[in-house]
Amino acid sequence: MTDPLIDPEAWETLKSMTDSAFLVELIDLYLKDSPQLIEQMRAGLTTSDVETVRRAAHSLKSNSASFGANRLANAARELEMIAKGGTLDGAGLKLEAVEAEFIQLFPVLAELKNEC
Amino acid sequence: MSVSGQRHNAPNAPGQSTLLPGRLLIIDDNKVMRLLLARGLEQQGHSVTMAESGKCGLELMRAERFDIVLLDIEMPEMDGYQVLEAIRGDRALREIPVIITSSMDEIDGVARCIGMGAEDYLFKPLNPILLNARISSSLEKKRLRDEQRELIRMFAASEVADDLLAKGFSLGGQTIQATVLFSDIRAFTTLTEALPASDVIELLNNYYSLMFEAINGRGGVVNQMLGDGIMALFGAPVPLDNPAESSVFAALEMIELIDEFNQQQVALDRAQIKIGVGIATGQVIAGYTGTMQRATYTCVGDTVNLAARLEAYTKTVGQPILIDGSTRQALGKDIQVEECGLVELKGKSQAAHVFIVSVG
Repeated sequence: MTDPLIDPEAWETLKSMTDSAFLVELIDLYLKDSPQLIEQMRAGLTTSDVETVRRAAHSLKSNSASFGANRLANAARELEMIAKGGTLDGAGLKLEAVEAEFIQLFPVLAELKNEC
Repeated sequence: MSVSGQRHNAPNAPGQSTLLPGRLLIIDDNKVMRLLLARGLEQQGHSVTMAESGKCGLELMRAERFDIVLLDIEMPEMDGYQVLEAIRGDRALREIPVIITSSMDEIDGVARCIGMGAEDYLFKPLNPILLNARISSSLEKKRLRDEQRELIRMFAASEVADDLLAKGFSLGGQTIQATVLFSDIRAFTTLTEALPASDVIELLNNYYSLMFEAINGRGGVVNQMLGDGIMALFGAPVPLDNPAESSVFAALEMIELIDEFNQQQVALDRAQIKIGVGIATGQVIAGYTGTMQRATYTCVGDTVNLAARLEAYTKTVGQPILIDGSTRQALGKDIQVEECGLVELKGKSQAAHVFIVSVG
């Protein structure tokens, strides 16, 4: 059995820190920011810009973890760790995993947003 | 950012509304993180300002006062380490506690920040209970530190307080060149026997205010008050161009102020006072003495003893100001002195050259 896309406990924690209007604002921001971060990683990979890949992966990791999107956060962390090592060996595969996770996560978060 | 319409879904969150609100600054390049952190802190009643870069954060810190700074490590251009370094290198900012916000796998970075002077850390994603606890504890610690600083300022001469706050506190001394001044009210005991207690305290307070004014006005530092006696230092801990001359000018002003004070006292039909001043210049051992619990900045050594003996000797010769040879040598033409000769002072193995400073 695979882990849930969103960890219920983390989601509850997040809800406890905010009100629904703010949560909607936050999800919108995340859904807008994340594709841009993925785009930055892709561009960094094309130009062999390790630092850009590392930074974008770091941001996506932190943001995703805040929503309890641990699968995406972990994929982003693995990519960050590769870049932190100073190379982009195997980074292409990891980026694909990040994108795949995000594509799955998107509708789930959009649904949660409607429930707020 | 508005805090209206807040909803508390964490019934057990501790500390909520139990602490005084603080002014907090969040420095984080990541907008989601900034907003989330700000919201969590506003819900606890704090006022929050956000900065999206280290540079902006530092500018805000220099323009406004904050109780706590929450600092992200991973930021473009100026990262958390550089911001921390800039804060610690700035005298006006370095007392502000910094809490590092980082992800769990940046533990090495967190340790480095703590080593650089950060007060505490918080892992992202944020745990509201921990967030609350860390902020409360940091605010409380800051409040205590501020109170302590206030106490230091109140009870120590301002120069000593600055020295203490700048260099930190450590017992231990150094040998320095300085001038020591002792002053005492003549026949204070006889005087007080004739006065009610409240009058004695009022008299002492008036006397102290006048003496402090004269001493501080010439760059001296009063470092001890004992009954009606004062010990002041010139040239330590803050250097002066000519500490000996400054001290003599201060002594002359002290005599002058006491004369004026006496005229007032006569008009009010109250007791008059006379003072004696002894001054000596030379090497002194200066530093904080006492224990880690209670200490004072002071000077000891032959020069200090000599100044005290000269002050006592003013009674014998009936002159208000006596100085030693080293102080005499440093004086310019504006000050008139008279040779008093070689004098055997109590507790001194060798006779000392003593000079009388002409008054009026």
